[in-house]
Amino acid sequence: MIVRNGFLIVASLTEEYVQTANFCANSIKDNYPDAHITLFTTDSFLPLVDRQAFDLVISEDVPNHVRTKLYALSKTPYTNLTAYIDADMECMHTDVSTIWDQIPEDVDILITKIRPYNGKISKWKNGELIHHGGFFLYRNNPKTIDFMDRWWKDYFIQRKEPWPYEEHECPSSLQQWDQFTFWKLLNVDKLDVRVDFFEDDARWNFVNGYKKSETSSPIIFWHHTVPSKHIHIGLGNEDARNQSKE
Amino acid sequence: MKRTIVNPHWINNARTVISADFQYEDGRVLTATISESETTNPDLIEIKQKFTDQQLEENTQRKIRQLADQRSKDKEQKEAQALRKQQEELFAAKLKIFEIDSIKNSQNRSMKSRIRKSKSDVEAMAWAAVLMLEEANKEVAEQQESTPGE
Repeated sequence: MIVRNGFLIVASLTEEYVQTANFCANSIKDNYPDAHITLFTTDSFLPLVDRQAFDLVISEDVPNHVRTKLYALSKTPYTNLTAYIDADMECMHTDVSTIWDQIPEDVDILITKIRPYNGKISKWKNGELIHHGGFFLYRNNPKTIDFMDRWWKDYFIQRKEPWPYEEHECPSSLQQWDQFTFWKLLNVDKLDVRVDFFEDDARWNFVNGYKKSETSSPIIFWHHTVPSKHIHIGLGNEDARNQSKE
Repeated sequence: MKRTIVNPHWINNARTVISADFQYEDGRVLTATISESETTNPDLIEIKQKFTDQQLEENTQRKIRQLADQRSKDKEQKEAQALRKQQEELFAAKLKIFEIDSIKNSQNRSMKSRIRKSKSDVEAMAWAAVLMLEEANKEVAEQQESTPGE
């Protein structure tokens, strides 16, 4: 069955993320019953998956990595538009069904902005992280799928290899962030994808800690912070595997 | 030691008390509060020599705006923190509710949706109790159906 548009959620590392992924998908269905939702997770978590919530569950060959999300992006089952959504988000409004109309024809990735007052790191000497990696819409066209594939591969290398930059030029604290890889692909490697921001972006990804004044419209997605978020941020594939055994 | 007077402004509505920062060459900054009644105070005399009444009033209005802005920012920050705490507690409560077997395994989608959409933990718990009761009643009914009648 070919599905043009759908949501992609990833749950890895801890049971907590499967629970929040179940909640997230169900909250989307509560507000948008026709939504098609895919979950990428690992075999070990399959018994915890709420089958009512997902239309498709993919676990074969899925790595248990801190950024399994990046692995999944280029493997989207959707032929037109994919809405990637962090597992710890909650859908709160029926306007979610308008999501596919939000992206202009000439845009490949539609994303939301980081609010520096609510982030851990945003600016350094040669750049600034402005794209929030927790929620975005992207097209299934060759250049965007290639971008997503590069995002995963380059992030994997970024975590494995020694940090190649001078501390004063590019602080090593950026090494853990996939948003940095995203920034690098756009600004250093200059990949040919057009990225733009959601109109009234805060209502699409209202991150915990945002000020109420960020939007005057009803919030569509609330971005929670699960207690273990970022605890495993330091893990690469091997470490993640060992960690999951503990 | 040479000093510079910075931002002298009135600090009361009656415009009888002035506050100003005195910046010294060695980097020290002292804030002084002076009443207009202290007519022989050298700081007050110097302020009055160097700043006109209009400048004092403009500084005062600017300070009022700064304070109002700061208060507004502080208030917004506090509200954001309170909202964050409230939402996280509510989310955690809902996740806990969905760990309960009879709720997790229930096929009653609309009741589960009510729990998810609850605006407070009390509301979520109330709907959870209703669903648990329904599931328990269903279980009893199923047991009775499967038990041969007398």
